[in-house]
Amino acid sequence: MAALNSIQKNGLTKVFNLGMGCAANSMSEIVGTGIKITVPYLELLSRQEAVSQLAHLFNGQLSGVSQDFFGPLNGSVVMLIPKDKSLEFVRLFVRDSIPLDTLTEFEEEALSEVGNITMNACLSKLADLFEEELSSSLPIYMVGASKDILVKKSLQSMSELNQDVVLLLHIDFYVGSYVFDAYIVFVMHVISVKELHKLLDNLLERKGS
Amino acid sequence: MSFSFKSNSEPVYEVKPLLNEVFNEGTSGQIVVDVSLHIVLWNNWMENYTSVKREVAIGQQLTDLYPQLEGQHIHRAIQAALQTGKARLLSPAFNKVTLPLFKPHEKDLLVEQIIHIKPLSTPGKECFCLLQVTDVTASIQREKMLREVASEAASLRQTAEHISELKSGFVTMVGHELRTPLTSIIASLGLLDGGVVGELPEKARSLIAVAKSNSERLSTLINDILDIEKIETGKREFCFTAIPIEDVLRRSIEISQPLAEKYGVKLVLEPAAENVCILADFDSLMQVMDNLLSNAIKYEQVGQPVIITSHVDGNLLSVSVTDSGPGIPESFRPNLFRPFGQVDCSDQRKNGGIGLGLAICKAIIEEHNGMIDVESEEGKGACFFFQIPRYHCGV
Repeated sequence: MAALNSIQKNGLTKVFNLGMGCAANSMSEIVGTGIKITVPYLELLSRQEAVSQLAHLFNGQLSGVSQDFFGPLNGSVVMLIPKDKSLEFVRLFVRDSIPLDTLTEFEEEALSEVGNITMNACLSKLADLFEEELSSSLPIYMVGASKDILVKKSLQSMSELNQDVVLLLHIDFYVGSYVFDAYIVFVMHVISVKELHKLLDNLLERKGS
Repeated sequence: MSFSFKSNSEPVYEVKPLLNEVFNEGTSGQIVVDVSLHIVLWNNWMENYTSVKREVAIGQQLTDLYPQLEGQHIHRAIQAALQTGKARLLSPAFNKVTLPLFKPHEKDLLVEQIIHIKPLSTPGKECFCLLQVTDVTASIQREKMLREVASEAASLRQTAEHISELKSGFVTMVGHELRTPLTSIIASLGLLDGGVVGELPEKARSLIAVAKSNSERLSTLINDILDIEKIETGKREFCFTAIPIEDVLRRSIEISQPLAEKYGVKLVLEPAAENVCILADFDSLMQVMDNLLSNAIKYEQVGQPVIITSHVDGNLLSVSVTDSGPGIPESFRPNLFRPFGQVDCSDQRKNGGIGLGLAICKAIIEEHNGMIDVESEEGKGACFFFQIPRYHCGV
């Protein structure tokens, strides 16, 4: 797995921050509340490293919204929020929520739509800047430990799991006066990661020239 | 376009009619639009929920058929899906303007919907988009009812908590206001009884004795009310330490000995469980033992023993206090550990009971993660017992 150099990392962070800006605008419009989303940092890790890092960060179950993407880059993207925070998170967007300790079906759909908008914005900004086409599937809501979610979203058979590479984006959701930590995780095969390096270098070359 | 396949010697199937049927007979609404939002496919479900026939819908622009969608989130989401190839989910939480769908048999009930927007790619690179509409009216209504019930429950809980706080404050205030003058009354009666103002006539002494005894009962009642209030509101502090059960039992017997002598009853401690510790608040546990012993003494027949036992059962320590008094009728047992739940009002008066002692015992034992109960048969005495987890000294 070739690591991202600092120029590539900065470039990619900027791309995702632009994508998050678009997602925040769309969501602010839908929800009627001022929303800001930023990507303070990202990392390229092996799947196992990502699992242990997420397990270290979130000690418990996670709520996730995942979708697959297709094009020059293939893989899955998952937005992850600690399950206990997901209630508070969704209820900032959804008025008239029910004070239960689990998400209702209505709230699960709402969280799925928030994830769908956020992840589509990321993918769209990547596609725009790379001048490529990236399509995506419908979002799926899931709950589990980081390990289970990332294994489920792996493209590989169990024996090839170690060939997966994970692009881990730390994101901050600012909803009114609240800030929520979340992660967006791109699970890709090593071949797609090589393509990502190539597309990123092309982009940096174009922007540099 | 028509598909067919052949498997071994099976006949060739025409897949297109099957796909048509799957599309048309689905249990959700399905619409396919082209890049300019012209309707290409419109299934039976859509016919039923819109009363717009397929022949009428197909060929029309979705925004011509439903002008209210123009510029709305759903319109933009379809356009974005067609342009970027990314699927979209529209949940009912954020999408108030959706397709005007009505239940086939309830024409005035607007259908709540989840819409999945899925771009379709074709070999010719033409862009189409599938809109899958799921009717979620029933689950939204269920959640709405649940929300109403939850809100009502929250409001009732709030009212109950407020009333409970008022009651608690009132009880504490009245208790303290009564206790202060009562202490002074008891002290004055004690002085009179002690002859501070000189020798009193026999009749006066007898009246003072009645007044003093009733004042002391009233004082005990007030203290018990304040005590149970403190435990129930979590304001009583418990100091848990490891204590050998033998110490608790011996000490409580020493304290109850004068009362036992007064009633002509023997206190018999059977060999206590040796080297058994409990994690307990010593004073509270003494209060429990004092209550159980004084009840047993008051109900025991003269000359008979009140027996105190302790034994270990797994991780639990059981302590029992048994008398051979009148016993407790079955019908009284459910209320026995509730405040003012003692057997008989006339009996209470005779034996000085006020109906709070057992409720306090229960509250204290529960604070020790234990349980308290009674076994009794009318006319054959009663055995009150409690169980609390044992503490492994030195662990």
